[in-house]
Amino acid sequence: MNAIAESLTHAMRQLPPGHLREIFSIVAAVLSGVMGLQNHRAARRIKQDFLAQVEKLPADEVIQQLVEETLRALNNHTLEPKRARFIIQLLMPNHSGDEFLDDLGERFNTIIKEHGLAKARFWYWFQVIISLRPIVGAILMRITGLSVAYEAIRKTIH
Amino acid sequence: MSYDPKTEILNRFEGWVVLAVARLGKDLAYGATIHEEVEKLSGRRIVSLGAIHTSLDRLEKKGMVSSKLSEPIAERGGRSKRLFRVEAAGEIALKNTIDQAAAMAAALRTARVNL
Repeated sequence: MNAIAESLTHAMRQLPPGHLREIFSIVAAVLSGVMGLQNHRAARRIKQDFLAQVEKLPADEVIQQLVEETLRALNNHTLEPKRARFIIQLLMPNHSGDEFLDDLGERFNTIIKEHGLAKARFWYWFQVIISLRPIVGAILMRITGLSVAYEAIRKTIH
Repeated sequence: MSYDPKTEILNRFEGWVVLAVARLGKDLAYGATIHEEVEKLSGRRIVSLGAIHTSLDRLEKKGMVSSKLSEPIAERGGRSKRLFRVEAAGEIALKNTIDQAAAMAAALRTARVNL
């Protein structure tokens, strides 16, 4: 991981500031993906490596802001309940699952700031549980072709 | 399945979702903000984010809303937001739904029941 972080930070130094946002986005995406798969200890080690590399960057205001944004996203990502995320990834393995998790994560971060971690984690689990019915329902409707029949009946009744 | 937008009526939840998308505007309407807006508009404390997503998928298939991906965002780990906007078919369906509710309210005023 050190080698990856080193090469990424090297690339950051070479690029003009206009491209830094894209690079940080890529770094955050790579690290988020790795953290989603690894245990907490591995995630901490990767974050430390990344921090050590980031500290070597020039003290520019834009860079500092991007570093903070990226690290905040990474920190919060590791706080989200992993088992709840896994359930959604299992049921929605496509891009809509990622979008759903991103939206959950965004509101999770807001709730952490307003009400603390415990309430945010409770909210996250609660949302996953109450979202199971519509998600599983949509999957079943799609698989069985019932959605077409449902719409036909609905139109007839109206 | 073909849809006639002139006669299409939204169910109650879809109505809230289309209304939230319309109120937020094309650059602010994505899953998390729509969820928050539906909670505010409907006055329900518990709204399932999964229901919002499945409703948006269904509405998009019917051509009532459309979506596009935003630029990658650092706060979301470098991923994009899916931004929604209401299409003409969605506006017509929302109007039909509101008209139907207004007709029901008018009928209720002349009915001999006290609710």
